[in-house]
Amino acid sequence: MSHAEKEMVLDVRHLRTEFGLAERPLVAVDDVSFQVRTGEILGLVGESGSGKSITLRSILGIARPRGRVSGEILWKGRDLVPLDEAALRRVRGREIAMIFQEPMSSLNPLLTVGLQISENLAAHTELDAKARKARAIELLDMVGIPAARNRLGDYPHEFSGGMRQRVMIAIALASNPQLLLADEPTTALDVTIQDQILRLIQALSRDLGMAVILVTHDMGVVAETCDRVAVMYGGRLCETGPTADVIGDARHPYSLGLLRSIPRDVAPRTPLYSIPGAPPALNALPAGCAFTARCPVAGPECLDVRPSLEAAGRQRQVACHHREEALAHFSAREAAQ
Amino acid sequence: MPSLSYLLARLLQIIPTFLLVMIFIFLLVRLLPGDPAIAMAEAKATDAQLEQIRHNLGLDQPLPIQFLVFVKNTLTGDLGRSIMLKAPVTEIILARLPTTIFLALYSVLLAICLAGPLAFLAASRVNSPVDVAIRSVFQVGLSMPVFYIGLVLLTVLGAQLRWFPVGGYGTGFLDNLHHLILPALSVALYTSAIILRNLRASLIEVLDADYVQFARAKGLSRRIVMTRHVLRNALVSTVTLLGLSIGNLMSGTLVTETVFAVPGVGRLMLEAIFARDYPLIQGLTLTFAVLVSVVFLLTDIVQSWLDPRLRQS
Repeated sequence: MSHAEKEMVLDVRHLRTEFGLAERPLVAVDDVSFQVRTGEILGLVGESGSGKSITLRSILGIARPRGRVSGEILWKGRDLVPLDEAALRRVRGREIAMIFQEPMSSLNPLLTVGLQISENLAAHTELDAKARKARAIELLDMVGIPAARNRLGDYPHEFSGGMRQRVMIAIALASNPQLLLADEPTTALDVTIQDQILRLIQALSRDLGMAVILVTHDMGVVAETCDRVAVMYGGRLCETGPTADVIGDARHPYSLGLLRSIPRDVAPRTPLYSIPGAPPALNALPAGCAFTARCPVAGPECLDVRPSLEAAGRQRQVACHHREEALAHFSAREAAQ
Repeated sequence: MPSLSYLLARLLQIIPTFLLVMIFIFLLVRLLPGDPAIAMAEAKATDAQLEQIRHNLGLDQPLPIQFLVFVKNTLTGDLGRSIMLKAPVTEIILARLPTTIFLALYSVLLAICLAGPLAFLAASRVNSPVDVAIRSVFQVGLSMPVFYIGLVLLTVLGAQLRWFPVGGYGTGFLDNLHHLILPALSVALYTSAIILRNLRASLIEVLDADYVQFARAKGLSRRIVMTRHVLRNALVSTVTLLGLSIGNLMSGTLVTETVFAVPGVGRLMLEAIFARDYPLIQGLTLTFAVLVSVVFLLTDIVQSWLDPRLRQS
């Protein structure tokens, strides 16, 4: 099935999440729109503080009560933004599940792994205690935990980091969600375990037809795992498109810079490109493009006029006033090296 | 639940504690200035009579012998005879002990009932006017000594408003609750201030923890998130503090029971000290040591029940 034919499950439109005082809000996510289709893995890329995690938390409604969420989050046609906690609880964990970055701190240290899986089943299914136990074993088995039956009574501290991430995935999968929000699921793990977890997520997505939004700051992870990618900066989207296209032919100066900072076919000890400066603070975002201060091709209008996300070729969108100059700038740089 | 071997190991740890306590009590009493024989004897007693009293008390024996006799008697429940009350120390203490334990439990329950809900309220609205108000009021409770709070309660609620009796002890459970409310409240106000501060801080920390966010993301009901995930984790450190404050509260009964004329072991201790009633002081000190050890033991058991990571002994 081609990209366009698959059913769209999530359609986020003009999502905005702000914190702090209403008069002087800190806008963590600003005018973010994207879609996710059945069985698709969307990578949400950006550096720390770019609003990736808050975007995921806004979708599930757990950015509230401290965060104020507006815009539309259409989940299978129904807007989640106006729903109250009770209605959201029927979506959370059941239809949309989430896994977190730190497997060390995201499992409750005082409860057995078995209980942490079965409480999810108790909340969302009609299964009795015996059936819940059987399902818990099945889930642990599915995510590749050896001797699953004997480990239900174990506590999180009795598992290694990679195994804990597997347990977290098992918990998330308990009631067959159609969308998995994965918030940097491999950042805290070492490289070999990283690879195993990514393969596991990929396999589960393929086998269960589950859509995945994978938040990461690692372009390598995106290249390996995702069908499409959305690049975030300063709470806004700057570029979206199929992974191969964005990685092979980035258009936004930020994605161009990000990709240049990854070692590819270079001699050892060659200094890598690094984007100058640091990400802007949420209380110091310009009215225009958030990347202006660090952008090599920024013009005077960039500071004041927000570039909108516009179509740039098939299934691609870029938000930049100077995309031609950007491409020329980085090509020239590369040629000079 | 904690395993049997954990419980046994923890119980065995009590033995060296008690040995130390017994050495300490034994030496302390004998190093204190003042002669019990003189305190016991009539004012015009002769040296021979004093010598006779010392002999009867075993005070003329060498110290190691006296200690062994003390240990042997203690283990068989014989704590000697009170000089002041002229009755077996064990009997006197056992008669007074229930009152003190009742008062202690009463105070602790009051403190938990006061601090628990308010800590929740404060933690769920951090830095709101409600939070600030709760913290300020309890800060006052924390900065005043228990006996002073006691005297204020006594004067206002007892003597002026006449809502509650100003002292003494009742007959029967409900009457006891009524009679002991002022002493229990004055201890509870102080203890609850300590618990509230700690519980509020750990609740704030736990509410923000990844596993609580994860529990919310699982779509669990608010009740389950708050009890199973938030409260249980927050209690781990608060239980330690609660145990320590109960230990503290035991020695506090000396003052509270005196201020409110409650006939418990605390007031008895004060009387025994003034009368230089050595056997009674020894017995009471030992009683307090046992009580505190039992409280700490229970604290450890509750903690290891709450937190599986503490069960590996």
